[in-house]
Amino acid sequence: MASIAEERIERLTVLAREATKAGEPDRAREYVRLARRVAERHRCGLPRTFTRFTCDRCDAFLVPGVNARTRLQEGSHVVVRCDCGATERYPY
Amino acid sequence: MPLTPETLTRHELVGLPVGVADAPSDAHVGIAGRVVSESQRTLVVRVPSGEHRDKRVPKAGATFTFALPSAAGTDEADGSVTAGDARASHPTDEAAGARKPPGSAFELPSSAHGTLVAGRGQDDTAGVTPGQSGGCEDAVYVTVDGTRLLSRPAFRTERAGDSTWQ
Repeated sequence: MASIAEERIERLTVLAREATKAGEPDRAREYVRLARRVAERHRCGLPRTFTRFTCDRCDAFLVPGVNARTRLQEGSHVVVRCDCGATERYPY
Repeated sequence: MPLTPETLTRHELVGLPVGVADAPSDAHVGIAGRVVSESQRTLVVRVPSGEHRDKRVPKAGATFTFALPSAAGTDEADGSVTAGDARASHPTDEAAGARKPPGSAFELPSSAHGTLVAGRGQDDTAGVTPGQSGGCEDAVYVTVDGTRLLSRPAFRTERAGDSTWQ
């Protein structure tokens, strides 16, 4: 059974995505920061979708096409670039 | 642990429909909308008016009424009006709930509710929070004393923990 902390993180993930799509990136940042803080207080970690779709530099919630660009490097990795300029590379 | 009236004070408040039933300031009484942000001492409520306006309501001294979707926490004593069809669609409904949850976290709806109670009826009425569009499902209304929420948003979950180690 998921703890309250994990459920809070799930809810905040959904809220952050909606806020980004609604054009409120700062509100989404607030949710992302709160989710990270909850995770570190409870030592429960963050789901992989959360870490993949948040910017490490500016805490934005990344929605590809809205505030993030994704490109593929053939056979090696995926590059996700936030609008702030930070890129993150994830292996296949 | 799902979002129930018992776990509400430790759970995420952002996104929940809320009404301010009572507050030290008259300007805050009657505000109804969705929580968009929370700080240590305030809640920011988005009022569904024409232009989006966010109202910052101090927690201290205020009484909030949160609407929980009944699938998350249907009460046993919620009355056949609300829980009848909800129970049909959710056979896994917990039988252990009670309208007055244990603990001192939730106060009974007082007569100071005023406009809110008049607008939406008592707790056991299936209804929509006034002024909210799209909230057409059954809901459980939970009244919380704002001083129970006086905590940093990230720390609120830790209090009265269900720790494995105690």
